Amino acid sequence: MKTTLTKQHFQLLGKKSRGDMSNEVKLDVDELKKILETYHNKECWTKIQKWFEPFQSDNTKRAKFFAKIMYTQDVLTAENTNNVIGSFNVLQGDVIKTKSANTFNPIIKDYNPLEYNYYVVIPSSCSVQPNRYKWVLLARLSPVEPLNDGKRKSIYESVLKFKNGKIFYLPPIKGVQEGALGFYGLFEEISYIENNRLQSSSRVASLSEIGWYLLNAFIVNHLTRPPKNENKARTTNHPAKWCIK
Amino acid sequence: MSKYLAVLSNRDYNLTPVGRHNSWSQFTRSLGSATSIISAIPAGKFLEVFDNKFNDDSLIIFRRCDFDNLNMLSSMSSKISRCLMQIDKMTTTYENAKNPIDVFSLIHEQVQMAVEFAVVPTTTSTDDYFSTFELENHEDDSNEATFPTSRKEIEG
Repeated sequence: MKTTLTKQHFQLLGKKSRGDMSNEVKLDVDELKKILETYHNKECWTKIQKWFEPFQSDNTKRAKFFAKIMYTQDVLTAENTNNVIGSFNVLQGDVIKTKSANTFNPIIKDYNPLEYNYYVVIPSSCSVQPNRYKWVLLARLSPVEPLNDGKRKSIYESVLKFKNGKIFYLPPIKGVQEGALGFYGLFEEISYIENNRLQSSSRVASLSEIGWYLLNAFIVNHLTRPPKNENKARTTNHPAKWCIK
Repeated sequence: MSKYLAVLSNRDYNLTPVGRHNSWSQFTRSLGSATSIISAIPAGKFLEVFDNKFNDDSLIIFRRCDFDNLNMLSSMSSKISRCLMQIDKMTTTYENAKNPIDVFSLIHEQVQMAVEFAVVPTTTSTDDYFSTFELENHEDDSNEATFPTSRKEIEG
């Protein structure tokens, strides 16, 4: 494909015109690396864990806090948001109730594909609008079972303390009988729904600003946290300053 | 506190036996390759291997998924083969292991989509060894911790 360089391109390269331009493109690869590192670290996740430390091991209060802060008062609609983001049917982080989603190989076997199940919408809001993506990724919500043994308690605690990279906690939902102690959003499973069926799913909760940020922090940590020294293993021999002719 | 979490039980898997081998070498002679295991164990079935080396326990090989209609990827095939080799080494490890739970962990690290391997103590086979997985570095502080018991406590 032929690329035509515009005046703006020349300006970006520090040249006034084609005649002034040599064939070389000078690149600062180390600078690119520094930019990328800011998007790929555990700093946010670690700070969140630290912020929640005042709760110590009082998981009841932790859960109480989540119940108060995680959801908006009502499910967000174009009307009750004064159309600030235009009209929409579904948003990222919405909890939906549907029979139309599929879960591949469920980890926790409380899943019956023929029954209504709850899911949280994972992709960003613009991706889940009608006629955009054909399929939409979801995380299935599994109601937290009564915390009557050590194993269940330890999972619950790890999730509430943000020490579990594969389960996201969602508190009980107003008007929903299931999940009296909340729900586990299972990111270890693969769940998905066809977009046009998502649009007709029943939305039962929307995330608040803090809830939405927490979900996104979780997703970033879940998908991109670098294991120790992985970057070193991937290091290639490229010059810090590069000149592509 | 156990660092193992039993999420699924035998009952949940609803597995049924498909065969039994009385020694590991007998098993590897007849089903020592990935393709032969796939065809010998249909989805939802399990095969049990006994061996003196396992003491009173048995090795369970089972399938949760139905991949019959798919061509098995070569990568999956090689993973299963590697797993078989590892179990082969493990038979010695198991014999000498001070803590058999470490060996279970070793095998569970090999869990694949099509075939899973597990060592199940025959004596306690009603327990949840069919699918345990390790939690990530949990602190052992649950004894002091408080937990909600009802919705009312959370919604306050």
